[in-house]
Amino acid sequence: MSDIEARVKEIVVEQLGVNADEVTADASFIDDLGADSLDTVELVMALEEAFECEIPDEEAEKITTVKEAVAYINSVQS
Amino acid sequence: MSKRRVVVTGLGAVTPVGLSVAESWENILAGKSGVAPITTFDVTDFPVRFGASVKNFDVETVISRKDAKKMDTFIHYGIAAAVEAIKDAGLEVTDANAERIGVAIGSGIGGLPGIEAGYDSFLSGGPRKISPFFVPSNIINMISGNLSIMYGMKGLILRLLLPVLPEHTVFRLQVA
Repeated sequence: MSDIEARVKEIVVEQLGVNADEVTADASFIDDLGADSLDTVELVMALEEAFECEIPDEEAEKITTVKEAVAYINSVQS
Repeated sequence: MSKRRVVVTGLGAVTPVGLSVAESWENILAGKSGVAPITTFDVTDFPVRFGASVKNFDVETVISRKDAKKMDTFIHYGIAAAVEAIKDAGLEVTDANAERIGVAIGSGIGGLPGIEAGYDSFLSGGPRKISPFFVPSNIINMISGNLSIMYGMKGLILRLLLPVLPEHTVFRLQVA
């Protein structure tokens, strides 16, 4: 697991109040982890904070799983 | 004017001397004080450094961690006290009575610490850093609101603004 993925999972666990073992790469924040739309906004804010980037709303809407979050962060950090 | 009566069927309390009615009452009778040095914020520059805070309160005994994160402390205390009162009363919310059960819970100010933290986020990071839960975490009607959601109460939901009373000692549950 990459450092970014581990950090993203940690943030998801913290923000959504779920157990670490539920947070798989493909788990959907809304369908699998019980997030609502406001939770996902706050989750994206936490990702922005942790990775020191700004995720525009239109990109944020496409981030629905850990895998997608990791891919986005990799794309802006590379 | 006809005499209207109120019947109290359950009690709940989260106070500086206890996290339940029984514990609080026992400590009051024993003459124990809830006043202690303030530890919840930096009091270095304040002339007065003691207060009667609630101590050793674990919100997760009544609200899940995820939900608790979206509520300022006054909501935690209010809900904990209300849950105790509802249990004490043996009140069960059913489809048949849900619309006849209302909630009226007061608070002094509401989520002042949360409002301050939200403003700090705004000052340091701009409008994008304000949490989407800023309003529902802090507004004064959200003890009543969250409690009615937890129990499915569908009657009149009120919040009482009680400016002179400390928020953690004041709540009232009305069963219509």
